[in-house]
This record gives sequence, C-alpha cells and structure tokens, in this order.
Amino acid sequence: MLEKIAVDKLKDRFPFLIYQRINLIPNSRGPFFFVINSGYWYIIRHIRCQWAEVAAGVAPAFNPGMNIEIRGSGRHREYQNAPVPLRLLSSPCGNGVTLTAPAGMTATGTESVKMIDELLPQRENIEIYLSGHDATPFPAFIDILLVGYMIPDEKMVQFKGGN
Amino acid sequence: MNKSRIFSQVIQPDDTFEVQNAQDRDILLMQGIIPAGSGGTDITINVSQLGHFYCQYITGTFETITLVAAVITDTGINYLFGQLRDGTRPLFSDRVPFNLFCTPGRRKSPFTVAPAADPVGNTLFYPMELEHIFAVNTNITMNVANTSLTPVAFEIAFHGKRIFSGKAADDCRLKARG
Repeated sequence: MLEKIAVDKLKDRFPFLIYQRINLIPNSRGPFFFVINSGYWYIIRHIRCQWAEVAAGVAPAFNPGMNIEIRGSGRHREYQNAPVPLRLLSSPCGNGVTLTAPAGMTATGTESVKMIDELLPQRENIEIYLSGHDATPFPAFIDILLVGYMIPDEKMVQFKGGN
Repeated sequence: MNKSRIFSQVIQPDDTFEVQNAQDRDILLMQGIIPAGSGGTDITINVSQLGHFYCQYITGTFETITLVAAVITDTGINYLFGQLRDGTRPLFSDRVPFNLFCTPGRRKSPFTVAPAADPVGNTLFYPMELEHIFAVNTNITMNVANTSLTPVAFEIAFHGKRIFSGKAADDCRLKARG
C-alpha cells in the first residue's frame, strides 16, 4: 500500500501577478520598482515580458534586445554579474511583437519561460533595471509581468486569529 | 520469462474510490464580450455550491479585432487588459495584457470580412500555473478593459480540482485519510 503523506502545497498563499509598463528612454537604464506589502512574503515564479522589436510604418526602426538586471535590495547585491539579455529568461520578448499606434502591441503569445523561484521577504523592494534600448525612433515600452505568490507571514499578528 | 512490474506497490481500490468521491477534475469557463473602448467591464462566474475549487492552471484565448477604415479587421494587436479577482481580493496588481498570461492567446474572429484569410490562431503551449483555492460559492471576476474600436470576445478556462462539499464527501475524505 502506498504510504499516505500530508501535503499542504498551498500554505495559505495566493497568486499575485505584478504588472508594469515601462517607457524606456533611448540609451537609458529604466527601473521597475514594487514594494512587497507588510505581512506578506513574495515568491517570484517567473517573469514574462514583451517589447516591440519593430514599429508599424516606421523604417528602419529595429529594437533587437533588452537587458535585465535584478537587484536584491535587502541583500545589497546584484543577482547577475552583468546585464542579461531578457530573451534568455522570458518570452515572447521582442519576437514578433510590433508596436502600433496608440502604443498597442502585437498579441504574440508567451511560450516557455525560465523559472526563477526567488523568495523575497516582506517590505522588500523588488528592483529590476532594464537597458539595451538603442536610439530607435519609436518609444520602447516594455511590459513586465511578475508571476508569483503572496505568502502570509504567520508570525504577523493579523494572521494568528483569536486574540 | 520476463515480467514487467508496473506498480511497485499495491494500490488499494477502496481508498482510491473514496478519494474520487471526495474530489474530481473540473474546469470553470469564463467567457465574455467586452464593449468597444470599455474602461473596465466585470465578467463574473460563480464557483457554485458544489464545493471548493482548487485552481491549478489557466488558459485563455481572445480576438484581436478593431475597426480599420470602418471595416472590422483582425490586426493581431492585443486590445484586452484584465485584472482577476477572488471575490473582492485582486490577484493581479493591475490590468494585465491578455497575451502575457493567456495561452494559446489570439484566435480568429468570425466577425471580420474574410476570416479564412486572417492569420491562424495560436496553438496551446504551456498553460500558466495559478494555484489557488476559490472557496465554495464565491465569485471569480475578471475586470476587463478594451482599447479596440469594436467589441472583443475572450474565453478563459480555469483548470483544477473540485473538492466536493457535503457530508457524504466529508465521510469519503475521512475514510481515505485513514
């Protein structure tokens, strides 16, 4: 007989997706900030992103790649030794995405993404920096979506119940 | 004579049936047509009295149509942005472009002039994980904005397990727990 084990996979967590659109000025380094609520930890499962590689009706606009730097603000360290091409950990990135007025993007679907699984404590500031936008004539909007879960910190009084 | 041993341990059918009587595979379908230029339309489904719904994955598909020179045209542009809520609790920080969380994503629309000539819809890839228990009888709401000049339709499926409510199911759970 198979041994029965207790599995509590959910642990009171709930999914929470964090989305921002960043307008990156050419040749700049654009920030993504999100402060995690007090009382919750946040686990980033993966990052989904897209930007327009070309713009409809604008030639020879071409925006081949963006780089990403993830910074652990609580740990005071960078999570990589150099800015990493975004397309190495996410999709669809710039593949098949076209910018069309007014700032709409082609509905290219997300395919495979690299799992990150980074757990961040409460009140940590999620810091991500984006760069690599060259001097193309159209604005570089980058859509960033963090897919993850909020996990209540059960030491906090609001989750203890009773008194 | 070679014998293959499929199960290395014995499966207890009685226990398995008890589990099956307490929970089952389930899909909740949410579908809606969002008016042109809508700044936020709530599309709601109810988990029902059948039991809690343990969601594991979501998949979604939507149209990419708008008016071009007064003709409904499939432009391939994403016009829908949605925020998911469990009851009143937001599960997305903001309205998210549908193509970032929906797979397969875009599909043909029957309302264009020549649907056969439009690009084919995407094929289902990995569904996005969304592990969450929606409690019995709560509402799942997607607040959707539409930047298109025409109404746009979408369908989202929540894939998971139904955890049956009621004494009979509770008894089965207790028996299966041993």
